[in-house]
Amino acid sequence: MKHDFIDKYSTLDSSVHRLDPRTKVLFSLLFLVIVTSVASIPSLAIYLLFALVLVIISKVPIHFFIEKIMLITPLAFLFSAFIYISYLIEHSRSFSISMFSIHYSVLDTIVPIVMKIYISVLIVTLLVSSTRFNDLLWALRKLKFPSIVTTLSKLVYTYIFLFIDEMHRTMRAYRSRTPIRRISRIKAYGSITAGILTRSMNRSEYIYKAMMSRGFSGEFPECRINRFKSLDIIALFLFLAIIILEKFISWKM
Amino acid sequence: MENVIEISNLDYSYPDGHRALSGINLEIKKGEIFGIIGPTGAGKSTLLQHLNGLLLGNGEIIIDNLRVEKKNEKAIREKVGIVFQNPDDQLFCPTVFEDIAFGLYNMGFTSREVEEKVTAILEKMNLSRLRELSSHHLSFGEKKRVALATTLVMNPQVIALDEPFANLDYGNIMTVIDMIRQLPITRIIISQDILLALSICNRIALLDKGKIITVAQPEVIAANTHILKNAGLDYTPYLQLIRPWGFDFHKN
Repeated sequence: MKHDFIDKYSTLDSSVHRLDPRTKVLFSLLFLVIVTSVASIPSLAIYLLFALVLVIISKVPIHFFIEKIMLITPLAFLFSAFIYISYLIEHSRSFSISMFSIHYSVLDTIVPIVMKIYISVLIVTLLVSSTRFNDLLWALRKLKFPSIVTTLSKLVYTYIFLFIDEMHRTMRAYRSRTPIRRISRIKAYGSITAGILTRSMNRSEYIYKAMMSRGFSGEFPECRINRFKSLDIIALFLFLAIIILEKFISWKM
Repeated sequence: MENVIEISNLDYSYPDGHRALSGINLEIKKGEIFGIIGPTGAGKSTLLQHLNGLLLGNGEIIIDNLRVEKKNEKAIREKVGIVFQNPDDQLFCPTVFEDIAFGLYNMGFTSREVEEKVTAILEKMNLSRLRELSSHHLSFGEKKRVALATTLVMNPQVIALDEPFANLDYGNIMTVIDMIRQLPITRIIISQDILLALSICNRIALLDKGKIITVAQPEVIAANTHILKNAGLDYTPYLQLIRPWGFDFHKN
């Protein structure tokens, strides 16, 4: 079985991919904190532009980000609308005075929230798509995240492929004996699900034995040699420059 | 030649009560290629899992003067490497490199040592081009070879291979046979393919219904068609199949 939906773009070669995973995790967290604390639209526009530049540098196809943005858009607008309604209730006078004040409050509330959500989605998608899942977990471990979280995540990552494999096999066997593609009988759902679960559990037991036979003792070993490079230093300065630029523009305005 | 594995009175029953192994006594010598053959459900894989403590039955197993028991688990697993029948069960890391490195990291090697050892085994087994690939993207034959590399890199004294020839084409079978023959360690091969087992093993144990029926040289086992027939492993019908093509096994 061939499936690469998790690490689909993590093997591309770009400056973003070459950054140390720790740098990427730290920058992403910092970026998210700064973006959520900024309220003005020009400031957010600078960060959005910066995020888009990073997306382009990363060589990860733009449609991948657009898909994620499209996915989050209804939620983003719904969320903003709720905030806007509560804003209107709170400032009921502005609603009745003129169209201008309504327009102003829309700009003031909905746009920054949507922008913040878009920037956050871009940054998180960029982090996940430009870093191998394993490296991401390694970086989290190095940044002192609890080992139970990273170990469990890694086990889930391992077993998710196994589950998908078994699901594909079972569905292939089912389709080979049914003239129509959809599952026609409700009863069939039950037996197929049970079959997939039983086979997955069986295989997961074998995988666990294979891990044990190679000395696994409950914690995954670190599998990479990663060191901070000059590229990480350059990225740090670039990031600081963007923050200073944003602060300068906000101050000027 | 001294014994590297000694099994005495080994019994094992699964939690559901099914008796998988009964009174197993076996001695395997250092450096030999030892075959364990038997029909499906004979207990071959169960026996194999006892060799590095994945299963612990009643009785005694001594590996290189070390008793297989919970407290010796780590040392035993460094001495005995197991290659499972299905390579998909053996390969669980995102890349081939990490799969091969997994055991070494668990053994406590530093990143630099791991890098060197993995690179060396990949070169030795002609797998360097697969280094950064995901095991999900390999062919079955490649997966088998990578699975073998994951165990060999740990430099075990004994390697136990469960059905190493299953589902392989003839080209890959020959590659695996060459690899097994060249290994300077004790090799245990579990197989249902009696002809392949007979051709490469120094000694063979015939296992049926959880019991050792006989342990002998391949030529002795091959000649004893009666016991092979009783165990459902009679190979002579295969020879009958190819005789019409003008190939006579005995003559050739």
